[in-house]
Amino acid sequence: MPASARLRSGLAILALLGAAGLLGPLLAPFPVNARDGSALLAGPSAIHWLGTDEEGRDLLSLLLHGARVALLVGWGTVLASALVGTALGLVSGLAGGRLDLAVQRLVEIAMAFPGVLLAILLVFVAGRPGIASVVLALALTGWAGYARLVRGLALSLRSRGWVEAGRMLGLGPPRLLVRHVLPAVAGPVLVLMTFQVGAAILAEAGLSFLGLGPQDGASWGTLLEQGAVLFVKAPLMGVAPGLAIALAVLGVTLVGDELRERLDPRSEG
Amino acid sequence: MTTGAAALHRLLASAATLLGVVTLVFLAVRLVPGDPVQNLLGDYADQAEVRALRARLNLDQPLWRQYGSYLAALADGSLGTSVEAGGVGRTVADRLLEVFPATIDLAAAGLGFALLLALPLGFGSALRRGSWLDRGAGALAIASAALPVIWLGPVLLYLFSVRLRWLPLPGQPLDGPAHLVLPGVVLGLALAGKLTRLVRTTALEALGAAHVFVARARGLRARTVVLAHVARASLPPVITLLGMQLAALLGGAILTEKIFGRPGVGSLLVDAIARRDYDLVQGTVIFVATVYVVANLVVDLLLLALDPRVRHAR
Repeated sequence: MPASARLRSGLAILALLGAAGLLGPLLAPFPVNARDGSALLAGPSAIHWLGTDEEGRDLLSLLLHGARVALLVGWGTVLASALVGTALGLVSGLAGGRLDLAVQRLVEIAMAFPGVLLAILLVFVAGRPGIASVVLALALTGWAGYARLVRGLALSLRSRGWVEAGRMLGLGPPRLLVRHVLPAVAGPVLVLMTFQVGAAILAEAGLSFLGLGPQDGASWGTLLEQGAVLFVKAPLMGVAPGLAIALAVLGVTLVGDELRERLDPRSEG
Repeated sequence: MTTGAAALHRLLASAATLLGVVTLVFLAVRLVPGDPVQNLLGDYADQAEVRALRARLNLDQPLWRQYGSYLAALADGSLGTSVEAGGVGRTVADRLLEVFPATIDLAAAGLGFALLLALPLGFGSALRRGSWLDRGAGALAIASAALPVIWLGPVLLYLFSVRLRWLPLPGQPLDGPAHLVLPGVVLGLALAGKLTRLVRTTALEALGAAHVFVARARGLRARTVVLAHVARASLPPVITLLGMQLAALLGGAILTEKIFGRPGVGSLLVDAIARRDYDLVQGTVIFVATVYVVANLVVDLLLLALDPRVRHAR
């Protein structure tokens, strides 16, 4: 696929997902918990376009509500992680010394928990989690990637000509940071953010599949968990939420790939 | 720095990381809002019962003393006591070691599938740039990143085990490699996509390197050149990626085991969560993190032995 087509289809998917997330509850034909007793596990019909689940809830409405959860967890996790991670990475790379060592050790500890493992533990301890707790649990390890990336960039920037020149002209650290370091760091951070949105959506779906997702919304992962055992009776229940997740992640991956090639041409793989 | 000194340095760093992991888990379990005892007994629990359980879990002690007994339980290798049905307790370590081989089988199957798919595809698409093979590999790399394990698993299970009946259903006794086919594919697919990209990139770089050019100019056959020079150059990055992706593999194993009803560390964790078995949940998280840290240590030591430049990159 040519690059521009990839970027365009990625952006189109993101726009679709964004619209579903923002307007989902308005677009949905039924309230999320409306039960239709006359249609339990029904197939697609004029009333229920994608059919219903075993409690008679409208699948299309559930999917639209799920888009909101995916969007909130995806972007919430990424914003929290990027903010904390970038700040710590800048401090670590620019200050050096003991502070740098301490931050690096924290990064290694956070990265020692594979995937959703620490989030599983935190959500388990917290009991019935909301969207905000799931975001916090995912961000508790998610920041480390940004810290490592930004530290590396900041280290190489410290000795660049224009930063040195700024320092010699007497610019203070805050001004140096904002005018000279942040703009150079922004591109790669944006690329990482795009990819992490997909990872966070997958992580949330996985947590919900295990029954550890946010309890205050209809998650695609929860729907899949129900659908997995209903494949024979209601194939759409097992297929549709998975396609929604795959489409969302595909969208951010396409955009991320393209952004990486444009903003951060040196990195590969 | 000599190789020995670099290895020692790496070893100490890993030990420090593990202590940090253990401490973070300790703090997470105790400081996150939410009362474990209340969670365990429900909202209408008897006060005497609450106090008794608090004492049994050492939660009535000051934090530093809890930390001490927690470290002691880790140091003696038991990782605490698991509460099983009937109130009989076995050590967490016993239960973990019992199911760990099944998880290793699964991870090996996933890794094996990824390598089997990615090595030929990666080298092939580098050698035939722009061909249909190259484009197909690119599409696979993108698609595999987007397909969630929790969807792919049930779909493939339905197709191959329920409809076609080619492969065994979950819950049947685990014998023979047929049981590992679907779980391995589901777990390994995302890794295969990333690996294909990496192999292609490094192979393309190596194909443009001076010594490969010279080898070709000397008249060596293309296949010899690829095997002797290109493949060797791709080895360190591939090993590095595998070390990093081991995290995703272990995390994915938790979901894969649940989907396919396989015993393993992931199933044990899910089970422990459902039973609200605190020591077992905590111990499993520490165990998996430790496996990951140790595996990455091994990867780093391997790279140290393979690539002399790593010794000086500090």
